[in-house]
Amino acid sequence: MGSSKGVNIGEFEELVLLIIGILDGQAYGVSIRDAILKETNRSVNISAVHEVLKRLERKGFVRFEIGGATEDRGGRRKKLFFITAEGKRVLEHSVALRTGLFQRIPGFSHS
Amino acid sequence: MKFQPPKWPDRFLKWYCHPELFEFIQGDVYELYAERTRDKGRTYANRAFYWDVLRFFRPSNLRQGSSLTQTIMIKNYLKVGFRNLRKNWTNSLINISGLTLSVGCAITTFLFADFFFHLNSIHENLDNIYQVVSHVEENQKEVRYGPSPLMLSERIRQDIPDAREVTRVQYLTGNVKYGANVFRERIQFVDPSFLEIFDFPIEAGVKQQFEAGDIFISHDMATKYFGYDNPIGQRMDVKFGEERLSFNVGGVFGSVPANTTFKPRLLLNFDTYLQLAKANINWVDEAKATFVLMNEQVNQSMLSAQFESYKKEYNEANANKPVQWFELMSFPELSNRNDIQDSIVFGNSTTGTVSIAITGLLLILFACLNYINISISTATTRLKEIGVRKVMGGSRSGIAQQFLTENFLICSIAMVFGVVACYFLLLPGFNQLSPVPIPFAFSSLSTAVIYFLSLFLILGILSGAYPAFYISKFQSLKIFKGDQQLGGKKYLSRILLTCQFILVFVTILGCLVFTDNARYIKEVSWGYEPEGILSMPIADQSQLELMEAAAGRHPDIQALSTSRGHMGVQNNLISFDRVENPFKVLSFEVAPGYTELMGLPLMSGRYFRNQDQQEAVVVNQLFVKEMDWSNPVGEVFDFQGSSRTVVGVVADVYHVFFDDDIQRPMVFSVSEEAPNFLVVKANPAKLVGVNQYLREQWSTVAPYDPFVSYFQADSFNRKYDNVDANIWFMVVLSVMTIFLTCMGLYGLLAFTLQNRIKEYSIRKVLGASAKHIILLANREFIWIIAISFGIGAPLGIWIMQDFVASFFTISKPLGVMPIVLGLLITISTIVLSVFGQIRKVTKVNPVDILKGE
Repeated sequence: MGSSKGVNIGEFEELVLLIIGILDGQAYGVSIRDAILKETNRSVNISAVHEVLKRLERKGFVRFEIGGATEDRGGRRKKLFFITAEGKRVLEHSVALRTGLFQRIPGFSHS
Repeated sequence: MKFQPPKWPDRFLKWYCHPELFEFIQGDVYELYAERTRDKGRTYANRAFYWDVLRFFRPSNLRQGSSLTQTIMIKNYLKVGFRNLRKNWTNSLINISGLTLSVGCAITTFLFADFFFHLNSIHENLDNIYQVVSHVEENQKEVRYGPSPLMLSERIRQDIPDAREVTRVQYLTGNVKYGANVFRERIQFVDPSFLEIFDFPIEAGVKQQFEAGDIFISHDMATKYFGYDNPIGQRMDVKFGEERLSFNVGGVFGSVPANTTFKPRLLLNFDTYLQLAKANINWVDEAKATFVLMNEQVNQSMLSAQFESYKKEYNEANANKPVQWFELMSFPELSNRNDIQDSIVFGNSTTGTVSIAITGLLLILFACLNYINISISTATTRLKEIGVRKVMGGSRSGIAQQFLTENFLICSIAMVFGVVACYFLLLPGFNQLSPVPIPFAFSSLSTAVIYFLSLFLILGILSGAYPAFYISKFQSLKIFKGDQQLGGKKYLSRILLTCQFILVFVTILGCLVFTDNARYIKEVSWGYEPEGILSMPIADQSQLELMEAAAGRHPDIQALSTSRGHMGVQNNLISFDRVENPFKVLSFEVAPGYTELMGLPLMSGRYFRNQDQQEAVVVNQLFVKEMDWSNPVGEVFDFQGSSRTVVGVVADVYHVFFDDDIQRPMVFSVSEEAPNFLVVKANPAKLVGVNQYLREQWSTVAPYDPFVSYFQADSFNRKYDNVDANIWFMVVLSVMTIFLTCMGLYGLLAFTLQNRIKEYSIRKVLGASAKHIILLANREFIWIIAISFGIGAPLGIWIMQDFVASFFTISKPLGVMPIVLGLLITISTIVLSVFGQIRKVTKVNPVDILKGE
């Protein structure tokens, strides 16, 4: 691995991807932004979230479905995001890479 | 929706956002807005909403290719626009020339207003500079006078701490000489603080060093005397009367902007004036003006208390002519007033400026409305184009844009031509009338940019918006069915056209009445024959005697005489203070031959004889009437401190050209004092030669003084020029109004004809005559013209009668000629402007029109 295009993934992209996974079918712009705020205490602008989603979609890591409208949204529908198989693989790869490297640091205790 | 987000950012989002993304983005920002309103309140949510929308404004979210399509379309719109301009070139020509005219006028009037609202802006402290103006009651009317007593400035300097600087200003005429250059000049005397109060730029020398022996000169004067060859430190001789003084050139003023109405030319120290005129610092001797530079914050109550006490002191010293009050008048107000007697600051009335600006706006409005009529009626020929475009999927806004582009195209052309017309035609013409020539310049660059931009936008939108949106609204189905009707009854257009025609009649008749009067006045006899009379002002007695002797030797000079003051050139108006009904008389002290030489017709008694003494006077008929004498010769009266006897009565003559006092009571008495004019009479054909001879003689008699002479026949000329300028202005105004109005007529007629051409064709098929159709088509216009003539003609004549009376003093009774001529001119112009269209209607083959169905 590591050679094919689209495997590389940025830190914020990874975060959003993870959040999409956690939200499990309820991930769209606002909910992703709120989850980021709750989980990491990072306040990001909604437009930044949209931008990342567009990028992830282009790379094929997420797909979307058109979801239901609510009153708060003034009747506008949602774009609900799901992780694709490709996305899942990238996440797994990234996590494995990370833990592998982390465990090789000498003098760190392992649980 | 429970929570309504702000409208404008929402619209902005809709405008820029890519349609595919729009719903989700808008939904998200709405949801956030609702959330925030709940949590943190409306204000915070509103602000955050603006910010979110702004943050979404990034390339990836934008509508794709929208700007690209538009640029391509504008190119097409322009191309189509140019084609349409060429295709309808008569209409385009009419439109462009009408708009050009109004743009030219608008620019000219704006330049004019801009100039007069920024007069003297060169002075930094303009608003804090004041002139002391005295209010005097004369004939139950309060009159403002510019001069003030010399003591006043002295006292202001001492008493009023808020007065930072004070300067007095006075004028004297003297002969200024440097090398061989000798000219008679008006010299200004000021205090050194003059240069602190007024910010005239100094181009050489130091303004703080304005000493008693110094003369400061303007750039023009430096060029005139020194050919601009650094004059600092040079000496100039100035001769006042008999006294010859020498001054050191201490400073040269730089050139000042044209809107500076009060300029220094030759400045001397005020102390020099005090010595020359033997004037004293008291409440009687006066300065022409006293200027005060005040602090920004002024203690008003103290100021008025001081001035109240000055008034008391002044009135004690001048019991015979008390002042009502002294006013401190600010410099901007001075330049906006022209009712101050003896003022040295040029004043212009604000009402004049404002009314001219309004005229300019009206012209623009007329031109735009005419343009709207014409462009809607030309659009009828393009109805099918609009229909086809709509069927092919053209949007309404696209069609509106097409029409607006064409309109802005016409406006830009008109703007360019308008500027040209203003620069080469209107402004120079205007300047003939204006008391100061107005340059083609704006007070600042930003003014110019803002003005031209707003003019362009106003013109473009005013003239183009209505047609563009109106036409683009048509439905293609209606157009193809031929159901599309244009406009309603057009009441507004008709009323407007009537107003325009009223204006046409007012201006045309006004112009004709004025011209008629002007011609009359040029032909009217002055009461004496001015041709062949030449006069020379000579102050120096020995010079006068030498010149008299020299003139006596010339064979062409038939008669010569001397006088103090000279009719039409130097009129000495004094008040004849008799006990009851004092009145003003013109007093001339003359040598015995003067009245005879001037050719004043003798009504009774005799001219002067050589042995006549001062008590003998010759008066004119007005004087006799004023004195209420039935048998004037031999009457005795007191005049100027001595008893006089009337020896002769001469006819009333016009001594000046149509001012208020074209005729006045006159008294000629035999001169005791030294005369100051040499008057000669010669054959009119030889007069130029005589003038040349006198000039040569003068250069030997008085090499240090300039030669000045006046042809008597020229003494009215300045006024004639003024009349010619007025006529010119009125002709231009009439031509413009009639041109614009005929444009309006053309537009309305085109409109009517377009709408009713089928009706006329059917009538023709059924046998209507050309005459009948012409009458039918023009019926409403005939009414409009008749009504406006009925209102406009009396109005124009009435206004002009007043104006003529105030301008000419003697006026000609109103004749039939101007009315007939005015009607003829208007009607022939109208016929000319509608002829083409009417001809088309009568000549067109009905089949061509009707088979289109």
